[in-house]
Amino acid sequence: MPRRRPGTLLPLETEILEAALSILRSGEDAFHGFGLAQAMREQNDSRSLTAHGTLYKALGRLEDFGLLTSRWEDAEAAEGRPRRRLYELTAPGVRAAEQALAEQRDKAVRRSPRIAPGSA
Amino acid sequence: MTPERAAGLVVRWTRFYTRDLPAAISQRRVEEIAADLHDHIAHERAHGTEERRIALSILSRMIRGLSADASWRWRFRPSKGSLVKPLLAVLAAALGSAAVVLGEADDSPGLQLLGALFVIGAITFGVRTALRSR
Repeated sequence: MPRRRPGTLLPLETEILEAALSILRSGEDAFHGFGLAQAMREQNDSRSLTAHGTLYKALGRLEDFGLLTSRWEDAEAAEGRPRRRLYELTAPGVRAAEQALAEQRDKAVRRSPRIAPGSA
Repeated sequence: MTPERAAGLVVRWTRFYTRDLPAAISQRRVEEIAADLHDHIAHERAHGTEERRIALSILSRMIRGLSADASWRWRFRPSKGSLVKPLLAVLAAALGSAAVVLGEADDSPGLQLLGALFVIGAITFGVRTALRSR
């Protein structure tokens, strides 16, 4: 796992925030662990889901940073299945996710090949 | 292996690495993983995934997360004591093993006996240190 520079997020944490933001923009206020793992799989076009340990450890860290909050799902809403822990992006979390997306777009623009007329 | 068996193994592993942690922390982790496993199995079955593949995917998620689980636990319950004693035990065992090997090459039963005593002593010391640190 890459080392954290002070004041920065690890790539996995950024990925989680981005997936959480896309869930929020799709109209869902809260998300749960497996739903997030699935969203990240689709986002990365990956075959495997993020490991349990990696995912929940990162979610805990983001909560500690104040970028996410969490609560238990109501027992009635669970309808007999195990209760889910529901996470929500906080206002600083939304800002961090938007910033991460903007940085990603900037990088993509810088990486794209430049075609300058008459440069050959 | 069925997905339920794989999920049972993951829950057992979760209970193991959350043992001795404050109840609120360990319960949250166990319940959260249990809900994740339930959702995982239900989702894959709804998509017609083969049972064996679901079980493998669950086990793969567990195995890939082992080091993160260990470091997460470390955050809440760092191991007691310093690393000096375990290192001494390993060093003594290595010296003892070297003495046994050298004693055989040199046809020296005395050195071999000394080496064996070193190894046994190191193992006893290591086990005692581990038990006391619990």
